[in-house]
Amino acid sequence: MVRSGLNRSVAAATVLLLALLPARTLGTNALMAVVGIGTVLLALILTSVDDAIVRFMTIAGHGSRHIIARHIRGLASFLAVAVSAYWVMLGPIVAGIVAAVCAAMMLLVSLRVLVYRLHAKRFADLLVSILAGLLMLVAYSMPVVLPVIALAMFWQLQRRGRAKTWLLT
Amino acid sequence: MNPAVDLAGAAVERSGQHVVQDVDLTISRESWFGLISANGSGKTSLLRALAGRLPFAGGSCRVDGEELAGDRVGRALRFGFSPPADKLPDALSGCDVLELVGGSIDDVRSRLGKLHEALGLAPLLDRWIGDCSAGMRQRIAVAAAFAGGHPLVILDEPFNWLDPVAIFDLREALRDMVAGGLTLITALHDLGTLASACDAGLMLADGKVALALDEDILRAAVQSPQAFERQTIDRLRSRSAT
Repeated sequence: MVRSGLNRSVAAATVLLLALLPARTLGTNALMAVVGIGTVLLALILTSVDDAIVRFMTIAGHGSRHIIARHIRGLASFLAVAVSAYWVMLGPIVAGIVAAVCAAMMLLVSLRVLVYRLHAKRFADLLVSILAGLLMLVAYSMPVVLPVIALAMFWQLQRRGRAKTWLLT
Repeated sequence: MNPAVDLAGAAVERSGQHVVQDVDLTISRESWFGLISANGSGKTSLLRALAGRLPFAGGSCRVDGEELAGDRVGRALRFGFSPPADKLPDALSGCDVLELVGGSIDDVRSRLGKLHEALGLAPLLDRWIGDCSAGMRQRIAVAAAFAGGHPLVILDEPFNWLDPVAIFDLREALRDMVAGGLTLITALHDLGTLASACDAGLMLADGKVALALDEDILRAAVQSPQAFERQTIDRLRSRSAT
C-alpha cells in the first residue's frame, strides 16, 4: 500500500508538471491560478477519506494521529516530490503555491478524519462543511486569530475522538 | 491461580437502560467459555463491555487478577476481539484488515497458526471486503480477533454465516488453540457446540444470569444432548415469558 501511494504521488506530480510546462508563458497571476487549480484537483484525487475505514480503524484501537497519517501519506509524498521539483524547474512561486494548497488539503483531510471518528457520514460531512467555512471566514476577516481558532477546533475534536477509540456502539 | 476473568455484579447500559445486570462469572485460564441466551438478552453487550468496546455501568471486572472495570482501554488491550463482520470496510482487502489489527501480515500469519488454514484465509487476503460474501467476511472478522496474538480472545457468534465444513474446521482449530493455552470466550446460539466444545458457560436471560453451566452440566449434556436441549429451551422460554 505504501509503494502504491508513493507511485500515485509521483505520477500526480508528473501530470501536474506536464500540465504546467505550457503555462510557463502565462503571466504571474494566470500562472498562479493554473497552479492552484491543478494542485487542488490532484490533491483531491490523492486525499479520499473513507468514513468506514476511519470508523474501523477507530474500533481497532488506532488513534487520530495514526489515522490521519495514513490518509495524508499520499499527499505528503506528492508535496515532497512536487515542491522540490517545481522549485528547481518553475521557481519558488509555483512551489510555494503547491505547498500552501497541499497544507490546506492536509488540514481538510485531518478535519474530516476527526469528525468521521465522532459522527455518521451524512452529519459529519455537514459539520466539516460548516467548520471549513468558519475557518475560511476567520482566515478572511481575522487572519491573526486563525491559528488559535484552528488549534482550538482540532484539539476539541481530537479530545472527543480519543474517548471513541476502541468503542463499538 | 487467578482466574482469567472474574466478573461480580457487572452491569452494562445501552441508551440509558440497563441491558446487563448483576452478572457474576468466573472464567478459568486455558478454557473455552460459552455464553448463550435468547436474542436481545445482553450477550453482545456483555462481551463488548468485557472487551473494552463498551463501558461497564457497575460492578467489578478482574482480568488476570487486575481490576479493570473502570479502565475500558485497559480491557481493550487485554483481549483479542472479532469486529462485527458488517463493520469491515468495503474498500479494504482482507490483508489490509488484518494488518490494521495486528501489524505486518507475516506476523499475523504466524500468530494465526492452524486457524489460517481452518478459515481458508489465503484466497481472501487479496480480495476486497466489498466483494466478499457474508461467510468470507465472517472468516476475516474471526481471524482479526487472533491477529494481535492475545492469549484472551472474545468471539461474538463466530459460526454465523459459515458453511458446515468451515464450522467444523473452525471449531476443531479453536479447540486445539484452547488446549494450547488460549482462553476463549464466545457467544453461541448452537447448544450442540456449547455442550461439546465448551468447558463452562452461562445462560443469560433479560440481562441476568439464568443458569451457570459448569463442567458437570456440560458433560451430562454431551451424554444426553436432547435432554439438555429440552431443559435449556424450557428455561429460556420460561425466562422470556416472565
